[in-house]
Amino acid sequence: MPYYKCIVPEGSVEFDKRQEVAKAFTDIHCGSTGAPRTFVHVEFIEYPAGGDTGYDADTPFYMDGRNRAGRPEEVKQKLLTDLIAAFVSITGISPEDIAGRISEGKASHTMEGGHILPEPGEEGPEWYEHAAAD
Amino acid sequence: MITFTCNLQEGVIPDELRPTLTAELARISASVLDIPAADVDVGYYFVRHGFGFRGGEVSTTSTVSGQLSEPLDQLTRVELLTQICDMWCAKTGCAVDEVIVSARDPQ
Repeated sequence: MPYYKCIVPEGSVEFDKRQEVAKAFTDIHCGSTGAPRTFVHVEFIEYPAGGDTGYDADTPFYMDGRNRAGRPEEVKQKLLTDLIAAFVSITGISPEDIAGRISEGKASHTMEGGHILPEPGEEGPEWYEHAAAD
Repeated sequence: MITFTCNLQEGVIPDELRPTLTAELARISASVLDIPAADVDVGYYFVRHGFGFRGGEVSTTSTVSGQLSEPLDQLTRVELLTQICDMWCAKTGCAVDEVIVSARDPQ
C-alpha cells in the first residue's frame, strides 16, 4: 500500500503518459504522507469500447485508491483532489470525465518487504531505511 | 475460509509455477488457520507489461491478497503472512520486496 488503480478506456492512455501519471502519483502520495516511494503502486486497467469503468460513476475514467487507514480526513481529501488533478493535467482529459475514491485498510493486515506495515504515524527508522535501500 | 487474489505482472512469474503456488497457498493456510485445504480459494489476475508501476517505474511486484471470512488474531496473521512470503520468494525466486501479502478481516 498505497495501491492506485486507474480504470481507463482501451487505448486512451499511452505508455509514456501512464508512467508520467505513475510518477506524479508517487510524488503526490509521498509528498503528502512521507511514505517511501517504492511503496507506491499504480496500475492501469483498460476496458473495451462500449464498456464502462464498473464503478458507480458516470465517467469514462476512474481512480480507485487504497491506503493505510488512520490519516486525517483533510489529508485524504487533498490527496484525492491532487491525484485527480495530476491525472487530468497529464492525460489532457476533461475534469468532468474522471471520478475517484480512496478507501482504507488496516496496515497491520499487510506484509510488504517482509515486514508488517506500520500504521500511519507509527513508522520507525527501519521504514525509511528500507526505502533508502531501494 | 480464505480467498486469495494474486496479481502478477506479465512475464515475471512463469505460468507453470501457478499450480505449485496454488497448492502451497492452500497447504500453508490450512496449516496455520486450521481449516480444510478445500476452504482455500486462489485466483490469478495478470497486469499487462507497462500497465503496473511501483515508485513510478515498471513494476515486477506480485500481490497476494487474502480475504478472510472470519476475523483473525494478529499473531496468527503474522505467521500466515510470513510463511506465504517466504514460500513465494523460495518458489518464484523473487526478492522479498517483490511480493506484498495481505490477509484482511471481513468488513
